[in-house]
Amino acid sequence: MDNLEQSLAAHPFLAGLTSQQLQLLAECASLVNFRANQVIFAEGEEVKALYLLRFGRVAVEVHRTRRGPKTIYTLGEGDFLGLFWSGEEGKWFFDARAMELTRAIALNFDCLRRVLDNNPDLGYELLKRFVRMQAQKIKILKLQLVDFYGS
Amino acid sequence: MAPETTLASSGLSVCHHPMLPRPFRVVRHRRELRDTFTLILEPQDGPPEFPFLPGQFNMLYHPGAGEVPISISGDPGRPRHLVHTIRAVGNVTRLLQRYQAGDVLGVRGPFGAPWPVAEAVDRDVLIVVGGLGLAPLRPVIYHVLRHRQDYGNVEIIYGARSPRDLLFRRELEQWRGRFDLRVHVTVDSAGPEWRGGVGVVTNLIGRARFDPPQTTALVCGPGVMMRFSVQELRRLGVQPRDIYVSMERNMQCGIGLCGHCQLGPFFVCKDGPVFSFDRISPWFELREV
Ligand SMILES: Cc1cc2nc3c(=O)[nH]c(=O)nc-3n(C[C@H](O)[C@H](O)[C@H](O)COP(=O)(O)OP(=O)(O)OC[C@H]3O[C@@H](n4cnc5c(N)ncnc54)[C@H](O)[C@@H]3O)c2cc1C
Ligand code: FES
Repeated sequence: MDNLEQSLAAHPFLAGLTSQQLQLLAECASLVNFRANQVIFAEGEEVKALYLLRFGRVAVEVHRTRRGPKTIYTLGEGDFLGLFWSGEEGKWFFDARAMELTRAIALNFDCLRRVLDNNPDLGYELLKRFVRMQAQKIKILKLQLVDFYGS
Repeated sequence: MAPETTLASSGLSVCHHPMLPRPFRVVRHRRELRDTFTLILEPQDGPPEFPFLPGQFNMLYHPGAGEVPISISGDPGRPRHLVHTIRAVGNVTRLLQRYQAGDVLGVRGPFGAPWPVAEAVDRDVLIVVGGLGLAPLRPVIYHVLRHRQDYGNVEIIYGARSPRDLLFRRELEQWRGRFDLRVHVTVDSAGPEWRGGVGVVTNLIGRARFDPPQTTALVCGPGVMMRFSVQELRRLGVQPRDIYVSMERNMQCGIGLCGHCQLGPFFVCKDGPVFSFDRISPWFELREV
């Protein structure tokens, strides 16, 4: 296993994948760093990569005219950054900003699509994980909508 | 501004009968948040100390207006000062907000069953709190830190609406700086100046370090937050008998006589307010939002 595959294997989002599957993903992967306050992507931008966070903290934000950004949730080590984009347009719904020095594995979006299309078993496995994570995020957003700490 | 009616002018006698308030003088009024304040009190006469167990509450009395149950938020190891942290929500609590140093109010207590600090010895301790729920659990934190060698991993998970709503912020920062305790703080939403987490406490439970069968979890906060926290703790394998929650009910006597605080077969003032989840679960709503 080379360095990249080791990093992929160590990431909780990919836990349990076979070394062959990790090798396929490694074709699309690269290690990236973001400095504190660096914008990782912005709403409306084309999705170029999805990110597996290895270290640091990222704020997922909505931009509000005049009032500035509002953080919807934060992600950290072991999290997957790449849930909220529109399928048809391939564009981000939210902004993402590194809150501190952040290290991640970037999975090139076009490459990932190609690999998953050609390897439906891996595609299905990752799709299940995306859906599970999406459901979890919606549950959290729902709790944030009710006055969780208020009464 | 001093309250219009004081305990002295109300003609109350000093007596330690559980139904009669004892006069306490405000040593300090500290503003915590926009609507939340802390009163530091000492007895006007009688024994100079006020021993209590973490989780117990007092009935605080404003003459002419009535009494409210308020948990003790101070350090059980320093019983000379009685500390209460109060959110001004209605009639009596708004009157209490006007008390300043030198004013006198009535105190009955301490009442109620405490948090299980003795049962938690040798175990991991997970404290899950939301909003004002940190106040009734702060005595537990003081106790556990004073007897740190008696416990395993200690993790505090605290959630509030926004960074402006974080209670005891300076103390949270101090605790966070210790090597023998982990403090996780999250808020519902924040601007870009906030450098902490945004999300809900339930999401942080899975990130804390604890061994579920060897963990005692103490949960305090609004109903919906406790419900989801208990669900998450159970999902992660903490036993219902090891999960403790604090229940709130309207109270009058505080000593199990009037029945105002009845919850199923329990009187919350006497059998609670702290209950293990296995005892209280049939009366603890688990419905999803
Ligand atoms: C065991 C126990 C411990 C408590 N510890 C604390 C504490 O440490 N700090 C603190 O600030 N409060 C605490 N409370 C809640 C506190 O007792 C109430 O907020 C208080 O009784 C309200 O009285 P009031 O006269 O100011 O309001 P009221 O005029 O009686 O009510 C005004 C508004 O507040 C609402 N309200 C009344 N009681 C409660 C309640 N229990 N919870 C939420 N909303 C309520 C009413 O529905 C109404 O809308 C505790 C309650 C219990 C049972
Ligand atoms: S308040 Fe009277 S029985 Fe509990």
